[in-house]
Amino acid sequence: MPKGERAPEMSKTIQVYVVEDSPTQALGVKRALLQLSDLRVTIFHDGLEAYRAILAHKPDLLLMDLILPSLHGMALCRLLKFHLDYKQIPILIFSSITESDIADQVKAAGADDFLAKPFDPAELARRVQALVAELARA
Amino acid sequence: MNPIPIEVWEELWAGLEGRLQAPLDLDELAWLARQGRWACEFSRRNGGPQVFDLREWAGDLARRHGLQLSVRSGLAGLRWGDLFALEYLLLSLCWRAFGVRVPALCLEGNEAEIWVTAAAEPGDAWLAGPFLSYLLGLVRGSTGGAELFRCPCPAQEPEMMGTPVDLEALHRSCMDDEEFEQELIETFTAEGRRQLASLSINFSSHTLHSLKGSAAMVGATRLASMLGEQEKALDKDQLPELEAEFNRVLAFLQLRLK
Repeated sequence: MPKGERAPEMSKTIQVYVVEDSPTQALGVKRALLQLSDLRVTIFHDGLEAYRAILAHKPDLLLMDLILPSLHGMALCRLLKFHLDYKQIPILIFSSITESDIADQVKAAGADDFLAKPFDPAELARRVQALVAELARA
Repeated sequence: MNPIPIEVWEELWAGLEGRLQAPLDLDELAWLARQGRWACEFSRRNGGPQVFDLREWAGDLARRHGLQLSVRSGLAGLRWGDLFALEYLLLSLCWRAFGVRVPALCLEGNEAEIWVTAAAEPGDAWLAGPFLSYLLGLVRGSTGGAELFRCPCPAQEPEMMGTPVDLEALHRSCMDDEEFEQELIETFTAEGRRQLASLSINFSSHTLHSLKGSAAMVGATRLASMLGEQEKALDKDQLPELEAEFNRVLAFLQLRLK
């Protein structure tokens, strides 16, 4: 939620995992999410590392890059979306891949949203806010 | 690797050749080129001038060293990447041509030619200034001619290249948060250096892609575009150009931090 606004539901900290191998971009994502309250953000720099962490502690929301070391973002997305225990985790994928149909490919893999890089931090915050609102309704 | 077009070297040295004790061989030329690139790198890393205007440089050098100097008409329009590079290159040339002791540099010329001679021994005090002292100390300590730094410095037309960083994009990424901007620049600097070092070993599309996204985030649009092209082409010969553009971006960002 934007700071100063009331949450529609009771205040619950949303656990967000961000998977981004670039420290610069991870920093940018983290800063963008600071605009929203009640989020606890954990950064991972590697797809496989993130997957293991998800199996250990399921996050409420997953934001990730596509091209990642160890495990490609598309593969990680499919792994989670085809698993009964994890498919409900909303996934937002961001990427600077310029293929025209990349958004469709990402959605076909099960992602809930796609954002092209470089993104406006305010836009990222809006998209995340929308996913959080979906979570609250679910 | 000699990213400075040979025509530039040829023109610069055309007037010097007859004054040297012995003709330059290729090793000598390579050694000088390395020193020039090293000087570029020094200047870039320390926020030195990034645009070299030969006429302006000549006036400045003449004032500081008491030289008679005019610029050959064909050279006047040249713009290089760095002010100190040519100055140091010429001093190095003197050193190599006239002996271990660095003689005073004396440039002379007219509308048609420029040439270098050794002035009467004026002593080291004549070559004053912290930058020169630092460089000369290194020159004297370097006897093997080993490469100190690799610094591509292509002749560039800066007015055609524009500013290396789109400030509007940078501000947007930082949400006008100055403290965060500083942190972002520092993080990008460290990441970029690491990634470029990695590219020199393994020119991989993954690394190019990752750095492309980071460059775009700090508003380095030209660098991001170059990295995007290389992500597809994977032409390792283009690495010096990527490094040069990265250094331009860094110099620009470092000035912002100051």
